[in-house]
Parts: sequence; C-alpha cells; structure tokens
Amino acid sequence: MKIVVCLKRVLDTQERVEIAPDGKRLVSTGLDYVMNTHDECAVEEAIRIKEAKGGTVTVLSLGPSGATETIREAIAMGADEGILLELEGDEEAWGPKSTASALAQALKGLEFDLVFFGLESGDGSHHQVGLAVAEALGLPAVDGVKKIDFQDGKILVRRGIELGEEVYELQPPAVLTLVDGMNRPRHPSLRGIMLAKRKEIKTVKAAPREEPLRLIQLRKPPERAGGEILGEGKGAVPKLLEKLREAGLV
Amino acid sequence: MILTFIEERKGALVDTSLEALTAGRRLARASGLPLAALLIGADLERHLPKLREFGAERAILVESDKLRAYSPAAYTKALVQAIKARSPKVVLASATALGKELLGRAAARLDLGLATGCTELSFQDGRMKITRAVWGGILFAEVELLSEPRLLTLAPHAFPAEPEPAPNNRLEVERLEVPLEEADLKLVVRELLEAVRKGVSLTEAEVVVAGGRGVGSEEGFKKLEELAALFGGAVGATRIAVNNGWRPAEEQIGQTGVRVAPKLYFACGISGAVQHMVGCKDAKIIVAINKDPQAPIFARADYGIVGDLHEVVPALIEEIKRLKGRG
Ligand SMILES: Cc1cc2nc3c(=O)[nH]c(=O)nc-3n(C[C@H](O)[C@H](O)[C@H](O)COP(=O)(O)OP(=O)(O)OC[C@H]3O[C@@H](n4cnc5c(N)ncnc54)[C@H](O)[C@@H]3O)c2cc1C
Repeated sequence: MKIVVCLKRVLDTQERVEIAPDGKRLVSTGLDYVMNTHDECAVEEAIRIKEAKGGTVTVLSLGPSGATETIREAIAMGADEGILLELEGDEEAWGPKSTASALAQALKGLEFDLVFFGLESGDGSHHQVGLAVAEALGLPAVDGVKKIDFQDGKILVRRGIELGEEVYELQPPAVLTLVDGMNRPRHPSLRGIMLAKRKEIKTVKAAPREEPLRLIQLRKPPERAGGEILGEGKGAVPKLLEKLREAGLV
Repeated sequence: MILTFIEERKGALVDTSLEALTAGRRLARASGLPLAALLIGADLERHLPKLREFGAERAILVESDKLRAYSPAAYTKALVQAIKARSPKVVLASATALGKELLGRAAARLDLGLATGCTELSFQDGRMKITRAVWGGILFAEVELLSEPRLLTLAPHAFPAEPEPAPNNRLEVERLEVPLEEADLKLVVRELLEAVRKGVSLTEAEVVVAGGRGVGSEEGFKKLEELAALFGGAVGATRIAVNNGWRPAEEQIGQTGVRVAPKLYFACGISGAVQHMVGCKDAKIIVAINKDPQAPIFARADYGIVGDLHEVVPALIEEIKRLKGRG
C-alpha cells in the first residue's frame, strides 16, 4: 500500500493565545510549531498500515521552510519520504483553496493508493482541504474516519456521525480524512530521529491563488469570570454542598 | 433565494437542520429573499409539514431509490445541481458530518468560497457579516465571503431552532431530477452502526465529572465515576487523561474533543488550559478541585476547593450519600 499523508504544522497555543495588533494572526514569538493533532494520527495510522501490509509512506506538507522540521518528525516516526511545498511570502495569504490546489497539483505527480489528511487544521479549522483535493483529483473520499480495517482484500472504513458510525467499503485510490483519537501516535525512536536528520526533503515552490474567503479580524470569546475559593481540602466539602443545594443541584 | 440543506437520518429530520432553517429564515426575512429547503433522499414528502412550520416557502426535493443510502458523490451531485438550477444567494447547512462534507465538496466543485462552523450571521447595510469558530473554537474570526452564492455551515447549537410559518403559510413543492450514474454510487454507506448508549451521554448529561492529569491513573477515575453516578451524570476527561490511556477518546472535552454545557461541571485535577475550557465554558456552574492554588482553572470556576482530589472527591461522595440517606 502506498500512502501519502498531507500534514500541516501549527502554532502550539498551549502556552499563550494572543492576537497580534493587526487582528489577523496570533503572536508567534516564543511559541513552537507542532504537527497538527489530526495529522499526527494520520501519520501514525499510515505507518501502522505500512508495518502490517508493507508499502511506503510519503509525507507532503505545504508551509514555510521551517515546516521541514515537521516533515522530519513524521519521518522520525517511520515515514519514508518527505516533500515540502514551500510557500513564499505571507502564510496568511494561503487559505483552503490555495492549499488544496497546490496539494492536488503535487499529488498528480505521485503514485499512491491512499491519501490521508487530518480532519481539519487546528488553526483555520476550515475542514475543506482534504475534500477539495478529492474533488480536484476526482477520487472517492471518506471524511472523518476513525477506523480502517483490512478484511479479505477489502478496505472497510468507519467514520463517526452524530448517530454513531457509517461503514464504507473503499476501492483505492481514495482520499481519507482522519480524526484525532483513532490511535495514539508513537514517539519517534532515537534511531528514527537520527535517520530523519540526514534525510533529504524534496522542496518545490508554491504560490497562492485568490481566496474567496477574507478574514476581517480575529477575536477572543468572552471568558468566564472566576468565582469563590471555598476552602482547603475536605473541610471545604460542606460549604460546597451548601452552594450546590442553593443552586438546586443536590 | 436562501437555500437550506435539510438532513434526514433514518426517516427523521436532524434537529440541527432546523437550526439552519431558522437561521436561513432570519436571513431571508432580513434580505427579502424567499426561503427554500433542499431535501435529498427517498420518501421525503412526510417532512413537508415540518418545513412549513419553520417558514420554508419552497421545498426542493431530490428523490430516488438510489438515494436511500447515503453516498457522498451522489448527494454532492444533487446539491450542486440544485445550486446551479436555482442560483441561490446563500446556501446553508448545519455543520454535521454530512453537512460539512457536502458543502465542502460543493464548494470545491463550484469553486466557491465556504465559511465553515459559523456561530453568528447577520445582514448589515446589504453586507453579510459572518463569524466563525477558528483554532478549534478558542477564537472567533469575522470573515467575508467574496463569491456568490455564499456557502455556510453552521456550528451545531450556535443558533436556536424556532418554528415560525411564512406569512401566507404557503409551501411550494418542486422536484428536481438528478441523473445518477454508476460512478456516483460507487461509494455508498454499507452499514450504519448506531451508538450504543452506556448510561447518559456526555453531551446530554446535566452533571459532568471531568478528570485530568491530577487523577493520576485509570484506577483513579473510579471515584469520579462514583461521583457522576450519584448525580446520574457522565464522566469526561482532558486530553492528557485520554492520551495516558486512562479514558476513551470519546470522553475528551475541549478543542479537539466534545463540547458540553451541563448544569454542573466538576473539574478534578485539571489545570484549566484554554483548549480544555472551550469544551466546558457553557456549563452553568463549574467546580474546580485542584491542589495548586495558582492553577488557572480557579479563575474560570464558580467554586473552587484547593486540595488533593483523592481526599476531596471521596469526602464529597460520602457527604452526598449521607444527605441522600437522610432523605
Ligand atoms: C491543538 C491542541 C488541541 C488541544 N485539545 C485539547 C482538548 O480537546 N481537550 C483538552 O483537555 N486539552 C486539549 N489540549 C491540551 C491542553 O492544552 C492541555 O495540555 C490539557 O488540557 C491539560 O490537561 P490537564 O489539565 O489534565 O493536565 P495539566 O495541565 O498537567 O494539569 C493537571 C492539574 O492537576 C493538578 N493536580 C495534580 N495532582 C492533583 C491532585 N492529587 N489533586 C488535585 N489536583 C491535582 C495540578 O495542579 C494541575 O493543575 C489541546 C492542545 C492543543 C495544542
């Protein structure tokens, strides 16, 4: 099975979420970039399939030159090859349309059975790129996959919906978008990290197209106000119960 | 025309579709455009009374036996054809698994802009103001769509579902023929596995007892389960607790998990990261139990107890049992 995983690096917002003065981006100074969480599961799943069935895993990422580090992380986990579509200029100019057309273009030059995406990116959260690539390539797609089973030469995939799960039988080539939580991504081994360091990452330049969705400004949702510290340890329990009783909860 | 895609599952309209229809009606009334509902599937006429109740003026039905089971390509074709045939100004759907998929594919096929996960919509001086959730819901973005029709998916539960019939209470029904070929039906749902309910579901529970890294182990969650059971509630977890294998992924609350809005939310051994809080900020009352008085959760909780949860939670359980025993 030849699998291409499309992935993105995103700002690690665990330390801080601060909107820049232009209102259009987050302040990134001092923050790291990490692999988008859904994409990390997609990489893990692809590697597990390779380990079980043989084949190759190629990772493809659109991003600035720094995104090679994220590609190397995937290689350290067990992917074979990495390709960077290097965007020039402002990353914010790249919306889902530009991203999908650049990725689709690159995929046309690659051999694959399956293309994996993470469900959506943790930053823009558009949930469009995987679907748009499937459309551009004229391939079947299942969106929001949480399980992939190989049974008697068939590929059965499950995706979560509001009622439960839908099961599809898939004929490659196909596109799948995968969800965080379907597996627990491994930590790269030391050997993997060494290997990834030496790996050559193929780089191709990419330019954006016009985006029909324009960002005016970002804003923070109102935060909850803090309340009352009732006390320390189990001694505070009666006081809490009194409060809950007042609220009609016990 | 404002076109709202209405989803049906197993013969019933999906609740959040009625939220989309309500939002569509508000846009229609504000802009003077007619409100149309698009249904795709089989045996759709039974839904007409509901559409009328929610103020639809036109129902566009794409019916075929071939559309009984969901097929992404065939449904996309039907939606795309309806858009081409009726040239709506706005196309709306609830951001369900199906709604996200269909509008995403239609946007690609028609090369149109799409705003996903919208939380607010309004018309101001002829311009449409759109707010959508970004960064998994920890931030909002005000955006503008430059192409027409404007395609939008609405975050579930961000809009109310309120019935209000059209002024003349008329519903025109039209059918749209969509020729389906084999290629459109290659990928079809083979099976629908309905979720088996183990007790009350996390999103519907009135009381949620959530635990984080501070719970320390899978075993440690037993006490949280016990507390939840006393309230007839459900257990939730932070990403760290899930990543450590202490709880299943379905129980993760937050940016990459589920959103809950219970009456009472216990946060036990949870630091209060924004990515977690976005999943529980709509709780009526948040109670935090954390041994670190500096933990950010205390600035977001209504009531806090500083202390070891392994002491406080059992004491809380005992006290509630005692109260219950007294009747
Ligand atoms: C893109 C992205 C998406 C994310 N999505 C989510 C998400 O959906 N949900 C989510 O939860 N997180 C999410 N996170 C992670 C989030 O940023 C935090 O890392 C996580 O919520 C922290 O979990 P925690 O509170 O259990 O652990 P910690 O932050 O480690 O906090 C543990 C707390 O327990 C307290 N404690 C320890 N022992 C005890 C004890 N015995 N008694 C009482 N208190 C004790 C400590 O004082 C501490 O405050 C996401 C992060 C990113 C970058």
